[in-house]
Amino acid sequence: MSTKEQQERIELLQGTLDLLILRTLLLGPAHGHAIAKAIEFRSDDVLQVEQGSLYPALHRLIKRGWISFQDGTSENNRRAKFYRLTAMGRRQLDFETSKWDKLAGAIARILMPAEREEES
Amino acid sequence: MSRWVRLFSRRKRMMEDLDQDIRDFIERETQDNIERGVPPEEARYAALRKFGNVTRVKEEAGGVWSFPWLEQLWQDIRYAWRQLRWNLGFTAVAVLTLALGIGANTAIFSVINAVLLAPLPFPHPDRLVQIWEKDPHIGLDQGVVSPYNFLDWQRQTHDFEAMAAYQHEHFSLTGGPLPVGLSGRRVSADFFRVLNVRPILGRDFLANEDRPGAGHVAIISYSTWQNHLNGDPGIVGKSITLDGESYTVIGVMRADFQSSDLGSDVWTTPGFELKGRSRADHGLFAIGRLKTGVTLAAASSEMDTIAKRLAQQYPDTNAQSGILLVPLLEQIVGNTRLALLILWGAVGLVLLIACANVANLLLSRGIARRREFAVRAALGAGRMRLMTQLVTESTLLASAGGVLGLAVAHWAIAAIVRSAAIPRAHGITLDARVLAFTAALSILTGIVFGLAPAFASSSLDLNSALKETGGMMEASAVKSRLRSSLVVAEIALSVVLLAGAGLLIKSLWLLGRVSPGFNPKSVLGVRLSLPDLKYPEGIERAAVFKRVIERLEAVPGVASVGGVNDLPFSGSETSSTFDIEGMPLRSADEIRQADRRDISPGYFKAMGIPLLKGREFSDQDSAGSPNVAIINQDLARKYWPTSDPLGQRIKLYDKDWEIVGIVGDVKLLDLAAQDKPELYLPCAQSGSPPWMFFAIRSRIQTEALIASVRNAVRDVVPDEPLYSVRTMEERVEASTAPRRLNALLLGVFAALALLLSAVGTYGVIAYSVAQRTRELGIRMALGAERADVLRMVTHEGLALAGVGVALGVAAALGLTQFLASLLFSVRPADPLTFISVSVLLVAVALISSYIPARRATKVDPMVTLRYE
Repeated sequence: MSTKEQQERIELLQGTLDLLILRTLLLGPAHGHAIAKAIEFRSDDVLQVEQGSLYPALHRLIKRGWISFQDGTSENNRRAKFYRLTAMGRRQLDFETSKWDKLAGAIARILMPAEREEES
Repeated sequence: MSRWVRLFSRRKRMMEDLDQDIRDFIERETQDNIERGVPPEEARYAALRKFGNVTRVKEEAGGVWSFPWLEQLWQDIRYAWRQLRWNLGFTAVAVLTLALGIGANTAIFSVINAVLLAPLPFPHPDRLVQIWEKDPHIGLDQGVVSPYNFLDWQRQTHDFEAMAAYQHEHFSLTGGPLPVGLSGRRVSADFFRVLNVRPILGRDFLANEDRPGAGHVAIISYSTWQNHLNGDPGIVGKSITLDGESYTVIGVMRADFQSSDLGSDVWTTPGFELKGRSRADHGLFAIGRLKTGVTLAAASSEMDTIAKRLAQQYPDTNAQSGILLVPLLEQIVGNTRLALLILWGAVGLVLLIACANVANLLLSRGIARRREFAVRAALGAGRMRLMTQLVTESTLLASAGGVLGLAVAHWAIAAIVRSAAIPRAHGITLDARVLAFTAALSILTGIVFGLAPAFASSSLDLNSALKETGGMMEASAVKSRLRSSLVVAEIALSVVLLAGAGLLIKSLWLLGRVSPGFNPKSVLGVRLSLPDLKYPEGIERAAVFKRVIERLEAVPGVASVGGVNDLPFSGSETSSTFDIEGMPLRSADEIRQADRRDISPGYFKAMGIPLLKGREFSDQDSAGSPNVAIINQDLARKYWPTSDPLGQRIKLYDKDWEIVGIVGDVKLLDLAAQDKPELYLPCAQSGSPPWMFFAIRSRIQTEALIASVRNAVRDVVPDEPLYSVRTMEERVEASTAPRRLNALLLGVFAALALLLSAVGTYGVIAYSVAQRTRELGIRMALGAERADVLRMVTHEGLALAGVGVALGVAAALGLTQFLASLLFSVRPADPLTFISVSVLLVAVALISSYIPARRATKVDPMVTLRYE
């Protein structure tokens, strides 16, 4: 991995990782590595999942009952744990998404005028 | 609890899976890297680097599943354990102090638990009452019941579900190699139905078995069945011989029945006989069970109404007679309640003193540990966190004290039970309730004595604490004030305890100097019963008893023998109403009553009761000769204050008795009691009841004497066992056993308090001297004399003691009022006791501060000045 890549990547805000995991699992069950890859891929590699924080986040979500897991065998015949969104997790995702929209919107409204000021 | 277990097992499983997940993750990442063209040897390394710190990931994931406070507590406990192990000396002193405090509390609570709190072993015991006749005019509070009155109550009451009457009776069980003396009760058929208890074998009494001569049936106790009848499983329906008569065993009572203090070895019917008795004859005990929902007050007022009705109906006998209801538990516990509550208060104070002492120890250790706390605070431990740690340490100390305290309590309980001064004592054990009490008390204790030092130690100024380089650190003024206040409190509480103990001990001492009116040394008392059936006539019984006395007098080493219907200090007082010839009653209310004893001629000599005037009875005072009586000094003083009673006549049992002698006053049951009128009649003239006590004065060793007495009695009446075989000294001593136990316990608690506060004072002064070493060195270098330094330091101790004693005396003056009913001829504010206690405490404080003061003067001024 090059230094350039590192610079372009953004570290995730606290709590956002949970949201992204839930969103990723909306598409279907996945194992840990696939979740991390999916987040990086879908954000065009802008979002860097600090891999160390993935597992504590998964455990947190399991404890809250938002995701569940089962043991399974992956395509290359390796034992792996598949994580799956629960009904409660689905509701939580809706809630968190709308909260995120509001937050992003509000931040955007504050930042917008500044950009215009620079432009003018 | 199960939620925790579930969480815990889930956490374990998740953490095990995590390893596998991480391995899986890294393998996939390596694979991806290889696919991207990274050389295989580098691919794995890159994957690992990208994943980051595996241990931290595991820790963080584990953190999701942890219970932070629980783990922190565990960590605190382990840390505290290490701390306490490093300071073995401190730990030993603190744990020992707490063990004594908690142990004393556990012991007293276990007594309270068994005696006051445990319900009687019957269903709905709160509805059971003891029923007495009372007569306020003659000061009779709890009087035995007349059978006619009992029958009227039973017929007229609506508030009672059932009432039963009983009398105590001794039986001799024969059939074995030796006659066995059994304590028994003759009960009315309802007795066990009132208590609502059924026999474990056989059946209860039937209603028609409650008639004289009808039954000859008996229910035996579990222990009688096991010990004397070999636990024969087919015992029901078999016959046993009691007092020479055959009784059919119909039932065996439950073993735990004995624990009610209503226990006997055997029960039989009838409860009473009406033949030959009048309404004026009393002698029954009565119990009753209230109907559900009836209060004691309601039942009492119903019984008052019944008593008034009977008073109108039978004015001759019942004019002044009332009825008293006492809850059965209260009846059994009696005035032990007050003593126990006072002792409970006392051990509470002892524990407070122990807490103050340990708190003081912790405070001085807190100062030694200042750097440790400062470092921890600098590393980010909050004040709450530090306090939690310190309170954990103190709670651990208290728990260790609690465990050791159980051993102390176990020992103390054994001693208390042995004293035989407490009713229901057989129930005193360290049961679950007591253990829960001890556990709760230990934790509470740990918090109480740990909180103040924790608060003081955790509030420190980081900068100054870290800068200090291990030299003498100065304690803040707040902290030394806290330490001084703790010592003042200890001294004050000790004064309270010592004053209480002092008053009880002085009472006991004064009581020990009261003469019982006879000489109890080397006198053995025994009781012999003659069954009605074999010896129906009073005169015949008197003849048998006379033969027994003659035979006993012939025993080698026996100096004199006397017979009496009731020995002093042996359970009962009797009361007879008499008239005096030529001295009419001064008013209708006046009642002339005296304790009456029927005696043999040798009684006064054997007992050592002094003859003051006239003559004793002799063998010439027989059934055929003129009736004679001897009175005591109190009776003489009351009715013949100025004239000579000798030759005067008393009317009793429709007979005239001429007074021929005056003897000294005798205490009957209680050394603390006032002297009462006493009247003695010769048993040859008054007729004997079916039993007699013999007082045997001898210089032979007691055991040997008992054996020869048994043999001598068996020569005359082969089938009858002796009861109540005890020396007069034992009888008198038994009467003061509760007082001795109270004084002993309170004395021990007070001594403990004194010791603890002496140690506390010493600790504070020694610490203050250590702190002022430099100051004292400078003073001495500048020319202060040793005496000056000595005075200065001891003055500090005396100041503490002065304030403590002043506060303690004020508190004790208020609190000793509660002791009033336990005292004997001492006022609760007895000046001598209070002065002695104050002087004692000041002296102890003086000694406790003199030792460190002397050490202060030994210091070389140059050394202290150089010492930095």
